[in-house]
Amino acid sequence: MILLVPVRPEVPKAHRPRLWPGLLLVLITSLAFIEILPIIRHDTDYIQGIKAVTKTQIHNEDISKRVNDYLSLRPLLKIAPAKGDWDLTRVLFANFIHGNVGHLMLNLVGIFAGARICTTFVPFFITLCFFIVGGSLGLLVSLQLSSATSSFIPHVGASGGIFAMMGAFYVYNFHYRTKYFFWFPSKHGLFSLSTNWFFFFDAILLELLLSGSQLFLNHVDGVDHVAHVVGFGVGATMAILLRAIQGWPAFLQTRGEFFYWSKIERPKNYDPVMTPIETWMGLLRINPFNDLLKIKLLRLAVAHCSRLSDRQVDEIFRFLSPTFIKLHTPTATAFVAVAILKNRIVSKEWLAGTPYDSVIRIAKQLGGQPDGVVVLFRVMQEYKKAHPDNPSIQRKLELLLAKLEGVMPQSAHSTAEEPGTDDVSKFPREPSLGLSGKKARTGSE
Amino acid sequence: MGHYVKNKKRRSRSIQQALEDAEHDHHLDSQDAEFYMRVAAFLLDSIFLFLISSTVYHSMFIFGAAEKTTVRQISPLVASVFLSVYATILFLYICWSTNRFGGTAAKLLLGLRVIDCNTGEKLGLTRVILRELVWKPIGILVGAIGLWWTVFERDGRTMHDVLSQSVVKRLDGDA
Repeated sequence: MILLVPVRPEVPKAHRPRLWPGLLLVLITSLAFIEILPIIRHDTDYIQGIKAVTKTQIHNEDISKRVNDYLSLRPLLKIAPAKGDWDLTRVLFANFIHGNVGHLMLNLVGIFAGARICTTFVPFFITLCFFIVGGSLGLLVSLQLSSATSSFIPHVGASGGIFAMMGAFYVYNFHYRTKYFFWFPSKHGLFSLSTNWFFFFDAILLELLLSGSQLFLNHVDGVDHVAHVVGFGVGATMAILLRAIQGWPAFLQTRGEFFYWSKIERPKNYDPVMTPIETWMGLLRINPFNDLLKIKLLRLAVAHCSRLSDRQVDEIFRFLSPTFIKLHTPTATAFVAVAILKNRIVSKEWLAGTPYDSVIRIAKQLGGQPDGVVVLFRVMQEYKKAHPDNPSIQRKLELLLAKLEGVMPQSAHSTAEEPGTDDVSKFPREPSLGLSGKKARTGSE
Repeated sequence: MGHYVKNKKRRSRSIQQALEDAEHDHHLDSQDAEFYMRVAAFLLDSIFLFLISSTVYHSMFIFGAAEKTTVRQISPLVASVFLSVYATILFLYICWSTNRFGGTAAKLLLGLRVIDCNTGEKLGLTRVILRELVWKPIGILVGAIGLWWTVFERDGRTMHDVLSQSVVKRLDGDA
């Protein structure tokens, strides 16, 4: 996970996490390290001393018991827990203790990233609770399951807490994308990936394997993988419980959307179509990255396109971003097709801002359907009109339209060329693009 | 911006083919990928492959080691099964994905595509295998000559690009 650092969920700029929660937790952890540094140094010297003693008395058959007795008196156990000597206070403090500078540096990266991404969804105090509770339970389970040769080896570090914050983030951002940073010093060092499968692969799958190796094969590499896995599980569980208590629906991503949603009241003149459409559009104005909401909105809009006003059609078009078109091409294409078949005005702003690749994606989806050919031709013509000053686009579209004219059925071609017709009866009532025949969902779910 | 080359291909026989041709022409017309972008993709690919390697290695350890604790003690049969799995994953990741999608996972994420420099189409599997498993390792291992090649090529192509008649383009609408 240190190679790929989750930076933030893919959210609008206004909802991006602030720097201060991560910096505050980094500061607390760093100050704790500076404070206990003398104890760590003393402990290191003590361990070196034990090694010197055991080497000179290596043939003594009581060496194991004697080493254990020495280890039970090590200075670090005054502040850190071990299997044979622990209490709750030391377990809590162990989240802020690190054995050396390298250990601290690696965990500071994780602390900063984890605290930052969590605070997109929950306040800093809740994030801190995830960190401390998750980390402490992770350390506790790791202590009990530890099969180290001595029961006086302390378990320290913030990594259980870091994984707890990751677990909480995983739950909150499960259906959406996460921006990752891979140490490449450029804006291209950031890219987005789906949280549900990649986060699991990157953050937890390897840890599951390593903790299995640690528990069942006694393969110890100095890293507390069990604490990582348990911490992740505790953080995820706490997040699920918190969301259940809050009543946070799965299709809302950010806190802004949740606050807006929780304040909505059912209007007196509730319309099962227009009320949810306006609600989804209101939420999408807050977070236009929310693909789940876009899918809900588009399904309703496709089924009831005739009832939408021109303003609503225009706004829905502007929600069709290039990324959404790439990931949900059939859904986006269905709306474009219905809008054109119903002779609605295709947003010129959307056409002007949509890259050529996205239009080709939509065209390929339309070209695969018998009803879509007419729509395809109209889309290309509209796109051409929206880029009058771009010679490259004009040239490419002319070539494409010439090729299409050569292969399109004559009837489809002549129908597509009739401008501004209000008679929709000659077009299919519903495009056979996978959505016709399905009952539109209402907004009450 | 790349220079537009009208490719001399056969006349399109269907709508889908016409659209495919249009996509290929658009890819050819796109900007050549800068060298630093290709380095970024290489770095990201290395990270992904490291994650996959670690997963396979530790799986082998858990499922093949039983009571044993060192790699040398894993049975040859188990080791060969896992190595075969790993080789298959590598082949799929590097060669199959370039043939099927136009690039490895990292290239696709950063909006890069490996295409034929004349037609704009994706490379065939044989060309991809030669490019990725023969020319690229030779170019890197022999004094990085394959990389220095970019200095002399007008469009920044490396030796393995020239030998496999390919080019890496950057699609702005995709990243």
